[in-house]
Amino acid sequence: MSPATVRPIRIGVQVQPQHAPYSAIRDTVRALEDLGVDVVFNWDHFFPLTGEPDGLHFESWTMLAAIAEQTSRVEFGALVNCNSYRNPDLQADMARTIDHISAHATGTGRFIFGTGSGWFERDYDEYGYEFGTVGSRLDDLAEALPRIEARWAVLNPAPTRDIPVLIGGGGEKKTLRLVARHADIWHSFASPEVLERKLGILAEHCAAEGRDLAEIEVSVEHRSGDPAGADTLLALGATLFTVGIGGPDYPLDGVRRMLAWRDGLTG
Amino acid sequence: MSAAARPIRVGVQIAPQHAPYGVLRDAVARMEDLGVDLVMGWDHFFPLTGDPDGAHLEAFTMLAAIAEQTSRVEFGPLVAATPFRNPDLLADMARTIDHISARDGGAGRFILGLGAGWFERDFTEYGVEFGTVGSRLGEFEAAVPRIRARLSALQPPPTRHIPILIGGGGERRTLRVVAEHADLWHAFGDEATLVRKSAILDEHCRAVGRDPATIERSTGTSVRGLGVGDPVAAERFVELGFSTFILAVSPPELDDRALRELLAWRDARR
Repeated sequence: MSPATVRPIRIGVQVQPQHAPYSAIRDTVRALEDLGVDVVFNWDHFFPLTGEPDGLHFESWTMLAAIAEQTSRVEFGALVNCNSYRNPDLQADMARTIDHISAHATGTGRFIFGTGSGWFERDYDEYGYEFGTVGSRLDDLAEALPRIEARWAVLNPAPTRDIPVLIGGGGEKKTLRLVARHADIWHSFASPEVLERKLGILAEHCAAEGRDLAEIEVSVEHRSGDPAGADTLLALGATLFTVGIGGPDYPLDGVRRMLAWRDGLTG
Repeated sequence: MSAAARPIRVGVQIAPQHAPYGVLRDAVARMEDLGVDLVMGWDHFFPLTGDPDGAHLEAFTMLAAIAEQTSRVEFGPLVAATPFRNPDLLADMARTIDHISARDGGAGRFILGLGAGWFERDFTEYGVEFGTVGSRLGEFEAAVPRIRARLSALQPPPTRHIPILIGGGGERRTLRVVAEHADLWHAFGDEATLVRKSAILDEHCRAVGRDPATIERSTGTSVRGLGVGDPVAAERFVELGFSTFILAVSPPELDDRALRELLAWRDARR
C-alpha cells in the first residue's frame, strides 16, 4: 500500500511573518483555522526573504507559542526552524512547552517541530552567528537532532504526544540521511521530476537505516495553489501540500482552491 | 518620573514548576482578575524548589502565550538569563512578544527582565558554558547593550520603549549595568542591605550621568525564601525609594494570601 492511500491529504499554509503587523498575522491564522486548513506554518528568519529587505518581520518561536494559545484545532510549526539559532536542548524545551500550551482543547498538543540546517546568511551576519559552510551547518543539525530527541525523552512533563519532526531540504547525501533517521515528515520544494528522484534516494537511506519509507509523510511546497499540479505530486506520494502567503494582504484564494481539491478527493 | 511620583505596583512571580500548563494559565488569569500590576515568570530549565526533577516549563514560549491570553497586566521574565540565547535573538523575541501583547492599537505590556544567570544545573544539563561569576558578568555587560541596539533597529520597532529590568545586587558590576541600561532594578534583601545597594546604585548613576530617580526600584520575595513582602516592610521600602513589589508563588499551592494582603495595602494607599 502506498503512503498516499493510507495518509490523509493535508493542506498547510505558510503565513510568511513579513511585511505585516502582528494583528494581520493573528487574524490570518484565525481565518485559516476557520477555513479548515490542516497545518499553519511560519518560518524562522530575522529579515524578510522577499520584497523590501528591511520591511516588517517577526520572530518565529514566540509567534508559534501565541498561535498555540490562540488556536484550538490546527497543527502548526515552523517551516522551518533554523537549527543554528538556539541551543538544541532549549529547542526541545521550547517545543515541548508549546506542545503543552497547544493541548488546551483536547489534552493532546498540535505542534510540529519543523527544522533545517539554516541558509539565509544575512540572519547569521546581523545577529552574530557563525555562518560556516553548508557542510558544517548540516553537521550541526546532525548533532542537534539526537540531543533534541534525548531531551524530549527526559523532560518533565513529557510532551503530550510524540512531537512530529519535519525536516526540510533535499540534500541527497546528508539531509536525506537525517530524514531517514529522524523525520516523521520530509519537506521539499521539489518539482515532480526531482521529487521522484529524491524519493528514490530517500528510500535508499531508509533501507540503510532500517527505516520504513512509508512511515515518512511527504510534504511539498505548492506555491501555485494550483490543484492540477498537486495531482501529479500526489501520485508520487506527497500528501501534505503547503501554500505560502505573504503580508500584508495574505490572499486566501489559492488556499481555498487547495481545500476544495482536498475535500473533493476525500469526499 | 521621580520616586515619589511613581505609582505603587504589586506584581506576582508565578514559578513555572510543579504544575501542568493548564494550572499556570489559570493562575495567570486569576492574577489578572485579582488586579496585580505585573505577572512575572522566570527563566530556568529545572525547578528551584521541591522535587528537583519535577515538572518545569520554558520561559519565553510561556510568556508569548501569556501575551496572547491576557489583556491588561504587564508581564515578563524575572529574569531572563542572557547566556541562554543570542542577545540579538532575545531582543527580537522581546519585541515580537511586545507586539503580540498590544491589542487594538494599544501599547505592548512586555517587560524585559535580564540577569547574568546563576543556576549551575541549567547550564550543565543544557550544555551552556557556566564559567565563573566574573565571566558571566562579562557576558552580561556585553549582552545588554547588544539587546538595546537590536531593539532600536528592529522593524517594526517595539510598540513602546520596552522597560528593561535588571535583577541582582552585585555592587561593582551589576549595579553599574543597571545605572547604564535599566528602567527597573530588582533585588532581594533586608532593609539595611537594600539601603546600601540603593545608595551604591545612586553613585553609579551619578558616575554615568543618569538621574537616579529615573530607575524604578523593585523588591519582594522569591520561592527560595529570599526577601520580604508584607505591608509593614513594603511601607518602609516605599520610604526608601522602592515602588514595585513582586511576590513569588509556586505550584502546587500557589498560596496568594501574602499577595492579597499587599494588593489591599496598595489599594488603600491609592
